[in-house]
Amino acid sequence: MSENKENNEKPLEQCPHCKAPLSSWEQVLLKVDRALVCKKCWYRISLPVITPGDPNAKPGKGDKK
Amino acid sequence: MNHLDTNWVEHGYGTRFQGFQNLMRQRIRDILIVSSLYDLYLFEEDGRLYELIRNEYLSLQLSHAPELTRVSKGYEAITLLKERVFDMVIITLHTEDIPPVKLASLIKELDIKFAGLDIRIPVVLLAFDNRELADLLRHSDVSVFDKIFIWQGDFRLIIGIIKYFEDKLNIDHDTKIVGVQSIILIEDNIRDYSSFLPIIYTEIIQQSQRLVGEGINLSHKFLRMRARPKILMSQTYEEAWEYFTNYKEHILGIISDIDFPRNGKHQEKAGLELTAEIRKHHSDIPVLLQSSDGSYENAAHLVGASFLRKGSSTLLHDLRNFMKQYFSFGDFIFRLPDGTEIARATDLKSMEQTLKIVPVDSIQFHAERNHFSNWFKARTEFWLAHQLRPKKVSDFKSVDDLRSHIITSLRYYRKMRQRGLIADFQKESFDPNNSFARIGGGSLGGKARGLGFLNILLNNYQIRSQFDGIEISVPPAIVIGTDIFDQFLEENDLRGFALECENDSEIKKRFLEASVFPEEAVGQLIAFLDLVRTPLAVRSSSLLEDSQYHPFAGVYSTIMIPNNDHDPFKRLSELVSSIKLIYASTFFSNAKNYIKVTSYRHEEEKMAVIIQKMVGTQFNGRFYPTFSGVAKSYNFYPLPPQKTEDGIVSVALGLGKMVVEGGETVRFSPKHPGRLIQFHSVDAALKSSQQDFYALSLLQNKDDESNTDESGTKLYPLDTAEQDGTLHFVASTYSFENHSIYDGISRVGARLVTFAPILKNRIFPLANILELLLDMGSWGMGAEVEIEFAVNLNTKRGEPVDFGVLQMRPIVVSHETEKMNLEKYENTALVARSNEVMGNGVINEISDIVFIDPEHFDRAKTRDTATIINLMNSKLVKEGRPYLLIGPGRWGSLDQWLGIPVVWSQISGAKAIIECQFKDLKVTPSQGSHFFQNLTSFSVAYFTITENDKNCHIDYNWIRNLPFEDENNFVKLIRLEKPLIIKMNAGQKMGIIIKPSEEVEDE
Repeated sequence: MSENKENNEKPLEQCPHCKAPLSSWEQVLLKVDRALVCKKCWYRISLPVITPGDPNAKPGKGDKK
Repeated sequence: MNHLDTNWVEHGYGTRFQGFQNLMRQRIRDILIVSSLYDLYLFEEDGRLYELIRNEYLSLQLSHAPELTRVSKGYEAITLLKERVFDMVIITLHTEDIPPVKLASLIKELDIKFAGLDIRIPVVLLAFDNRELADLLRHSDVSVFDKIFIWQGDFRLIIGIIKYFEDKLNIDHDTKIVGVQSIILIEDNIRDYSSFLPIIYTEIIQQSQRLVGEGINLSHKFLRMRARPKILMSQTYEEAWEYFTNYKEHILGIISDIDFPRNGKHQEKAGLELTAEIRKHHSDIPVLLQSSDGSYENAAHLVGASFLRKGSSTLLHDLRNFMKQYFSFGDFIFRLPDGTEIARATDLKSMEQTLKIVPVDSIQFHAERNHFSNWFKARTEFWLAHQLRPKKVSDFKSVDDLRSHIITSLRYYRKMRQRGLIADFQKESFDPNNSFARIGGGSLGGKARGLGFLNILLNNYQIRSQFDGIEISVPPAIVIGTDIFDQFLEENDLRGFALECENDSEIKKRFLEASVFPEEAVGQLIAFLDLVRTPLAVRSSSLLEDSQYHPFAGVYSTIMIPNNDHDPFKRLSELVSSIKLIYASTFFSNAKNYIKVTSYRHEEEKMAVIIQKMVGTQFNGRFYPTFSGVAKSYNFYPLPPQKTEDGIVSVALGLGKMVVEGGETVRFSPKHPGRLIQFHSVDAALKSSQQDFYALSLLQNKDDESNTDESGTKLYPLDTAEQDGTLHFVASTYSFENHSIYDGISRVGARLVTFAPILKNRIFPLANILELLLDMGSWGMGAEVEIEFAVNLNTKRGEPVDFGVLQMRPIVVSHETEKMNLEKYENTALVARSNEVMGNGVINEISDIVFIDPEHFDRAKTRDTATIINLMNSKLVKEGRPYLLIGPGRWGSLDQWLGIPVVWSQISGAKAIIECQFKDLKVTPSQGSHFFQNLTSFSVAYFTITENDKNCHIDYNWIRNLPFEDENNFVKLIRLEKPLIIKMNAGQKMGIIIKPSEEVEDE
């Protein structure tokens, strides 16, 4: 029973704003922390927080700069 | 395990207990009691109520015993309430001036809010006499009281009252955060609930205490107490129903009267009706009905409830038994469908073991009644309960499938909750494949702290299984805290001796002979060795080790032991001796010399010891990982296309000793793994590739005590690795016929360790993993980092590849780029100039030079030279004179043919080093070595002089013509009247060393 294997959420590979590629560590940070500021354009990328009561949360959008 | 479940485990249901920390936020801390002196006297019995409560809190391990303040007059109470903060007021029936009901009204009028919440503090009436209370109830409106209780001689009622109100305040929050369970108590008789409440709370708290033993560490144990079930007390049908509907997923059970109000009227069978209604929603919630009328027993059973007669002389005892059995407090009793007991489980581990052997009939019996999930809930294992509760027996193909589902969930959970935490070592809960635990108090030391932090990062960010088929982890370990070190020194009276003695052999001997080893630790080590029977690395973790500016890299010992003797006492003795040797190494001259150049005092240093499972596979009497290495997030010597921020990695076949002690390694940038600059030509590859490798020898003569001081490693030729089946992962083949190198070892020819199969053909994502880990480390530490690792590709079929992260520490990188014009100096004014310089700024305090002339140097005598340098270093450190060290070859290499094999502590007083070339060989500094780590941490200026490079210059004639103060073999000590001036520009990696009196003033 591996903890990640069935997590089908596709990692975001680039900043949705400036399209700069995200490093593998940034992808991990974004996946777990659900938010990340792009180093290149300072755009705040945010993903929906998955809580126990909200298993079907819809994908979120990035905040504005 | 889906993502949702993982999140639950992460955020409160298991591993890190963040949710638990936020439980029971609202507490009653200050209580005002308004009572006559006589009431209080009755109440206190022997006048020690506060002490009794305090003792009870302590014995129940409840934190924060509340403070009690007593006044005898209502007027005093009102005044005090205006002046001070109280969380609750208890009024007895006899107040001197204002009658209790009137006093309660006046207090309510004050509208005192509870700790910033928008609710008033509770006002409670506590009666002592049944008749008097009945009288009051008949003639007064007592609704002004939040609750009325009657004192029947059990002082724990006070605790019951406090907990009852705290539960009311916290129920919503705590249920939502981690799903804390509740018991609904429906009782409208003041006397009855006043006796039930202390009993139920005591039972609940004792149940929580039983679970505390399973806590992972002290803070987890206390946090766990906060997750105890709550009591929701109600007096009417409607109130009880509201509780049930609000919290029905979290109700552990119901204890109810049968006769209580419904729709504002007394309803004789309200309890039966309520149970029947509840059964429609939840068929398996345990319900206990009570009545003074025994004729209700059958009716109770018909609605699936247990029954107790209130008049029974054993009522309270029976109530306790009911809770134990039906609320799953206590052991899990495995029964057959006919009720026969067949086994018991006392904790999660024994539950897992018992589940493997009990018959399917028993599992089916319990599963159909949700006994497993109830037992987990009652133990505050909400995540496990959640795993099982939604599933029915019919969801599984067979009961055996269900059995393995529960076992897998248990195993997974036990593993998960250990991860990322440094638990107190307990044999029962230690998982030899995952855990990181401690023995003894005190500090864990710098290295273990770094490992603990690394462990947290790997787990919190789910890095462990980020790459398919690869398990990235900190190898399981126990850490012996510094208290055991202190105890060992005290009990054997070694401290004074060790600090004074300058003879390492004598220190070693006395430490090994020390007869007393702290008993507590020995017991735990025996338990540990019973669980782990594979080779162990016994590593130092001193207080000062691995700090950014004084890393103590390579100063203290690491000892590897086979841990394979059939005699457990021999294994224990081998381990204890290794620990003693690590302790002894705290006082070796290496360490003493090192500390002298720091701002610390040696007596401040303490040693913790890490005992860690080694990564690797056993082959014919030896044990080693496929390869090991050191990765840095910053490359001090980038060669195009590398950039400094891309980092640099050094890897070698076998144990990491080859890398950290400066042997031949393969160096690559994780961003450009395919570009191996060191192998730019066939000749270069032949010259600079690894020739042999280190492994732990498992065939040491264990009876010979003198062997134990060795690190336990041995050098083996590459042929051995080829026979073991490890070489093909990392090697290429040299074809003599066409003077070419081919990746892999399928051809005939000489083998070369190039890592081409991994770095060029990507049979293993080494570069990707390291890139991720370096980013993670730099992010976590807020600094550039160095990571040591070992990888075992030779795992059994079906098992993941083992990527062990062995150490992480910050490194010092100087980013300042002071603008200095270094070009204006003519070479005639300079001792040296180089464009391969590490360091930044100006050094103008060096007047001593230790010079080893490459012209006259004999490479066969490098070891003797190291000894002489050590002596000169000790002398100069003692005199407080930093010096410039000039000599040929690679400094800090263990290979005596590559350079003078000094360790850092032998040259610890050097403030600047010039590495010049042998006449016949060019070597480059090994960035993976401990030596290099110390060099950067102490900001030592390091100049590399390359012959025939127009950007490099060294004035040997000037140096050779200086008068020398001391000469020993090839080593000269030169003392100048005025200091040298060293100027370095880190950005350009350029530097110059100016002769005394040749400084040019800046314009």
